[in-house]
Amino acid sequence: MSEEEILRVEDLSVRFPGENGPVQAVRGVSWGLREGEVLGIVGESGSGKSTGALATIGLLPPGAEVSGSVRFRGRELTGLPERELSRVRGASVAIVFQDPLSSLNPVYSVGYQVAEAVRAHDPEISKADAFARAVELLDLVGIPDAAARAGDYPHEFSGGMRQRVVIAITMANNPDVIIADEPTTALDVTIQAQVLAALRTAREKTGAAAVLITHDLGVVAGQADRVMVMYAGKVVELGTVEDVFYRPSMPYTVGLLGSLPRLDADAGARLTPIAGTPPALDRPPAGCAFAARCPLARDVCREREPELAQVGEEGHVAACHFSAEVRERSAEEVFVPVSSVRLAGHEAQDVPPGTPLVTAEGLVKDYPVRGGGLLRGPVAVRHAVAEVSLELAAGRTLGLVGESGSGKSTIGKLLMALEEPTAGTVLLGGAPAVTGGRRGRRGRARELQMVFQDPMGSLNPRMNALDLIAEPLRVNGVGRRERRERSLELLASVGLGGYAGRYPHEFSGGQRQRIGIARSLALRPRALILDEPVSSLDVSVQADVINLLRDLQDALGLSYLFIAHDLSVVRHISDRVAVMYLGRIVETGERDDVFDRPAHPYTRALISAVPVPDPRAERAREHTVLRGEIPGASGPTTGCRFRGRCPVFLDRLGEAERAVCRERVPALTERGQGHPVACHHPS
Amino acid sequence: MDILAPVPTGAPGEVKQEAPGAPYRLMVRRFLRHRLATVSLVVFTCLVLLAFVGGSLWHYSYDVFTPDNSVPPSLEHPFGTDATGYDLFAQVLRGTQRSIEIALLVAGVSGAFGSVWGAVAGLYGGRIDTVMMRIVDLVLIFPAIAVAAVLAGNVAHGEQSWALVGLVLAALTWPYVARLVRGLVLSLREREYVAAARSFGASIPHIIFRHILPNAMGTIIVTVTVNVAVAILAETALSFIGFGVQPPDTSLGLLVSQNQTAITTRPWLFYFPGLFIVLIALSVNFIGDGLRDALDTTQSGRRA
Ligand code: SF4
Ligand code: SF4
Repeated sequence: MSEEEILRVEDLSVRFPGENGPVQAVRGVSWGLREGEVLGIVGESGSGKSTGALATIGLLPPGAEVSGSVRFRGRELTGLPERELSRVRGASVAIVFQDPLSSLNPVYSVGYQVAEAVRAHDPEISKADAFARAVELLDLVGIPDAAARAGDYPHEFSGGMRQRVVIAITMANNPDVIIADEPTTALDVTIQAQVLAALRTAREKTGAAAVLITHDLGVVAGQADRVMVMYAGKVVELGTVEDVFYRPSMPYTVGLLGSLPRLDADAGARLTPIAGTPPALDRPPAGCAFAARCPLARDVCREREPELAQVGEEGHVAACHFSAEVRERSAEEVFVPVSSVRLAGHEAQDVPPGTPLVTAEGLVKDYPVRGGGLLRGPVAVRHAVAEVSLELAAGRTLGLVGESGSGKSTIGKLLMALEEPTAGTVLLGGAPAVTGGRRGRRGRARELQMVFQDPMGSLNPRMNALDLIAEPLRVNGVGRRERRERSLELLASVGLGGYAGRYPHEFSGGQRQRIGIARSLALRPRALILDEPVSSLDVSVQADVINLLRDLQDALGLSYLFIAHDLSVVRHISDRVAVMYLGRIVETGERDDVFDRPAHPYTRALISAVPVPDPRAERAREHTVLRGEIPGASGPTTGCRFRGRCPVFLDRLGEAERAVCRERVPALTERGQGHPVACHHPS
Repeated sequence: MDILAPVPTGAPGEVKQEAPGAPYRLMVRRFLRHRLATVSLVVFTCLVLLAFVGGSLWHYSYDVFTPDNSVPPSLEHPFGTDATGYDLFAQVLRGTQRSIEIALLVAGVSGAFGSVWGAVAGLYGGRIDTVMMRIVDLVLIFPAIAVAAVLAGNVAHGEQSWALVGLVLAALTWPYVARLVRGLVLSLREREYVAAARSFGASIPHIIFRHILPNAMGTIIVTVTVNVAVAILAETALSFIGFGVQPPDTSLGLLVSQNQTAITTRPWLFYFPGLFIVLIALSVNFIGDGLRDALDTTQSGRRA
């Protein structure tokens, strides 16, 4: 078997100097990459997944100490001088980073850069031929109109397109190994689907093996042959995707899979978060690194570190003393749903569930687009939000999904009166809300509160937890004693009882978001606007926050507007869903209606682009890869704004039907039971 | 009603262990790590103590003649005496005291005024911002020292002349602080915690005093500290050309000025005040450096 391996890593360790002594980012990992396969490396932030992979080819920040052995086609790479190493890299390894700008040179056109790579590999080729080949490659990775765009510079491309240019360069290098480090992390799902397709093309054309580093288990399920799970700098499980996804044998893997909300699964199931945070790697624990968070941990776990051992199938290894036991249990059986603490002081809604609390009618928000000229007057308007109406009902969650630029966050700000709408009204409990300035916000603050995306950014770093939670009370004139009492109660109710005096930087990401949630509840609002509340968190923590939100909703009868780009999370938490594209709601309805019977071409494409963390299901699904990108202000202003990317419009409609799409803006039209769609030709 | 919430995930070891306590303790640790800054703080503290307490304990006062004229440094007169019999040590102490008082006054007044000015301009934006910043520009284009000389020369007489000198210097230096703070506020006001505060209905003064200023404080303190050094030098320059502190009161600048002619014959008269100026300016600058490192919030806020 080892002769098929193109890359063999033995006992690789990486240490960085840190404030409290050396940080052991990678602690003795061994793995191999076989000819032509895709190895997925998954783990949460800080697990050492990127460091471990980049260390194999000597790409580490200065100061890193590497030990162990890396053999590439039998040749030892560790200890090679940098010049030799970079020759090996140049000839056989291509790397796709998360940020494509780091690998593109801003002063050369993309065509030139791809052609350079072609020429570097094949010195014989003429300049013209190299350029022609470059255009061909750009076309292969899906750059529309490649011949015309080859002369453009990197800054003229969007993030997803740049990533595809990098992949074109990768192909030109004709590597044996492609290392993709979170290649799609910052991208919208429809763009992610395009980039993944381009990566697949690149692999198929070059026959290269690939290492795909990602935190997204859905991407791994769809793309990888084998998967390696890392935790606290160690490999904790390794096997084929099917083995690992269907027969996880180590509690951490089980927890990761159980904490994922699923697009394709029963949304009622409770997620199984993993409590706690990974150990600090400047003081790695003596026994199993997962012991502090593992519900199965026993004394032996804390004393002796488990070795990777075969757990059943050939080639499936896991590091756990009790892997046999783990294999027999489901995620809920390992991570028994968390018990609850009780806390007095909150009142449930006095209105029955389903009562409309907040209603928005015909919201419009235009932003002026300024010209680049000397006077910089407004030359156009950008319609960030166009005629959006929605209703938040007591005890219910409305999920608002859309990609970047869809205007979903602007809606949150309009509802909170953080921005003034250009037109439209907001009704609170049936009465029009005061608009304008601080008075408007004050009036709303008691009805409606917001939880922000970035828990670090939304908490003032100079205030401690108690003051943070007390702030809305203070602003609204609640006296000192009551403020203190109520904040302490809230802090306890989100499970942070003893930490009133701590500052934001002393909490983990999930705990910070808990503080944000507690703060949003301080004024006893009836409804919460949750703007991407979990998107900056690792999956296991994400599940924890989602569960907390559900519990609070059940207990207090809160109404949620859950704004997110992650469809799986939205499906899990919402009762109703609204899908936005370029400022308009294009489809809305009961959750299952929208997800199981999507009628708008955009919704269909969006759902099909979301990878599900289930290898068989993911591979069997039909994927529509949308062409093009979300147009900015330059997009079509008349008719349906989706038509430039609409597969129905582009491939299936006749000329007469297209004319309708071009000329008339499709209005949200009811077609059956509470599931209106804004499309002239819904399916 | 009771509400249910998941069990606390806050088991011991869950909360990040690093940097326990308030961020201030972390800052102190960082500051102490900066050797020069720590030494400078000690030096500066000693200078302040010496000037403010030492002056009254010393057996000569700065404004009484001693029987000794023009004696070089000795045990009796550590810094020697000048031609009229003043004890230079007493004078240097008094001068140091005045110089530091002026510098603190300048830094305090220009720091406070400039900060509020800049914060208001940055936070309100729009026309208010434009008008306020044009005023800043206007003050900045005055040739500072000349204006200071004219103003101070006309108003600074009598007992409180040092305070007037300080106020004049403050009136000329606050725009620098205002500009800096405005830039800072422009970036801080985009933070989500400001949006959060607005969403509770917080007033602008609340946002300025609870959110913007505490987070801008690090930068403001560093700037103000450096301004102390600048003010010391400015006061020196002003007194040197005769428009600063007026005799019989004295300041370091005035001493250097009065004794410049003695540099060849009685060098101590010139070098001791000079040495004090250098010591103060240098130590304050290093303290500023140390504070800059200590207050750098980009290091204290770590993402999960
Ligand atoms: S070795 Fe013990 S602590 Fe570690 S994962 Fe297995 S059961 Fe849990
Ligand atoms: S209206 Fe036309 S272009 Fe728009 S989504 Fe429907 S079919 Fe596509």
